[in-house]
Amino acid sequence: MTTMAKSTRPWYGRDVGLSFRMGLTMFLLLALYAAFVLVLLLAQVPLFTLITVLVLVALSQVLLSDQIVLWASGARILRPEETPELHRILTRLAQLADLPTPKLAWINTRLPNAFAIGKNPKSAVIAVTRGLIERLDASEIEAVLAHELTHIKNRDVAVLSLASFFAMVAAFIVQQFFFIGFTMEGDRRQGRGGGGGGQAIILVWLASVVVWAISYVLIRTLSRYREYAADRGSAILTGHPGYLATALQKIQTGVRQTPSRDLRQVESMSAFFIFPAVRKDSVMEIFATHPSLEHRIQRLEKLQQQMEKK
Amino acid sequence: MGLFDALFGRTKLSPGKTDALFALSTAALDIETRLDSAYGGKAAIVLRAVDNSAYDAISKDLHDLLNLGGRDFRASVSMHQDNMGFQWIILEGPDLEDAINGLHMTADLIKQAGFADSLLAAMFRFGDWYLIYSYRRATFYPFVPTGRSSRQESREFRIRQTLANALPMEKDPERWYPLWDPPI
Repeated sequence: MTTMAKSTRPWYGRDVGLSFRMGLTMFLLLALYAAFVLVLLLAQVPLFTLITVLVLVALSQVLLSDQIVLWASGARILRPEETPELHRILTRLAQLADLPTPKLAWINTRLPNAFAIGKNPKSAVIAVTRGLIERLDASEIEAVLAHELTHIKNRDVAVLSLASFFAMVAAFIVQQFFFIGFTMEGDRRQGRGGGGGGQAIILVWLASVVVWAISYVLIRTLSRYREYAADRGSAILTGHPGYLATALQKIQTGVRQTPSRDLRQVESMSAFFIFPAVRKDSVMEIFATHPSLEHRIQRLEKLQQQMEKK
Repeated sequence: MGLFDALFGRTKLSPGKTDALFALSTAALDIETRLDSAYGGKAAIVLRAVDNSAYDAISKDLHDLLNLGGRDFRASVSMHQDNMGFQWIILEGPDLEDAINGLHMTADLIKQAGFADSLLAAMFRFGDWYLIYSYRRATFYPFVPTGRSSRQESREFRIRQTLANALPMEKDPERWYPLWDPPI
């Protein structure tokens, strides 16, 4: 028993850098949003207008629910009897991650991809495409499922919807500028609130544009960090960082080889995701919600080394 | 893993909780009398095999530990790797008490080596059904397979009801993860 390492620390340790950067991004978003709300209040945007906008945005987030996303992507819920092997491995991983086993959904496209949705683990669904199952071998599929499970465990859908809430408010104000300006103007004319006027309206509009732009970058950054976290989770759950690395490589090759007809089919679905309120495991760099393949593989290799050192 | 961990995307697996396994010792009588099921002589730990050389060393240590303890320990040990990358450490012997102790020692060894989070479940055979202990949640749940992918849920609920006072039974049926085709 001398060969045994007398340590109860898990082999994967902690990624302090990643947690720190994630925390910093969330802090910056929070600070940005706090400043935004302050500007809105200082510019004396009528409370009624403000509440209407908040409710509308909140409603749109709720209505853009999981069921609609699933339906729009053409996914079909799989019964366990249909794909017993897939369900078995998912059950094992869920038990390991201490999550209820999510439902599995099937998307009939050659594009290899997968995504997880659900604001809480109880309602979570993992969708996989036919291309993913055809191209990847069992251990690689397992790694992809573990990546999606980590998104569920980290509540990424909820975190990113929350993170993008005020960004959507800002976007709404920019787009519905005339409506907002009208209510502020009306308020001023009636002598309520007593302030504002043209300058205030422009201030609100400018602030919204700035918040929209900065938050866009911050949310994308946060999204990429959460992809790294999910990759890490996959390595931890499967115990093999290499599985996900080869899976990601195959997915990238698969995406490149996918006929544009099939890509278009998914594009229409991507258009549905206005904000990354839905986690989508894709190596399509155009979204930039995901880090590059090279970076992800570098991290996985680092994790593999860390494992060997233990 | 708390809210804070989720917020910062820190994947942490809850360390395997091993101690509640001993509750089975006292519940054994209930299982025998109230469920009319005798211990089937087979039990196993299911764990995730990790890609690591230190992990390989554990399996050697395990063999030493369980074979050394052999004098007052009437169980034979075997390993089984299933097609999903999980390792089964199987104890075969007539006595449930030996199986509980053996599995606990095994789990302890794995824990000390820093692989507590790869402990998935302990499984005990009772006649035609199984009792599964979940290391994540420190709870037990019944598993009555009737085929390769079907289970008799009504009977599982009855077993849960019967053992609810004797064992920490898992309340949420969604967490009654099936372990299909067990090699025990």
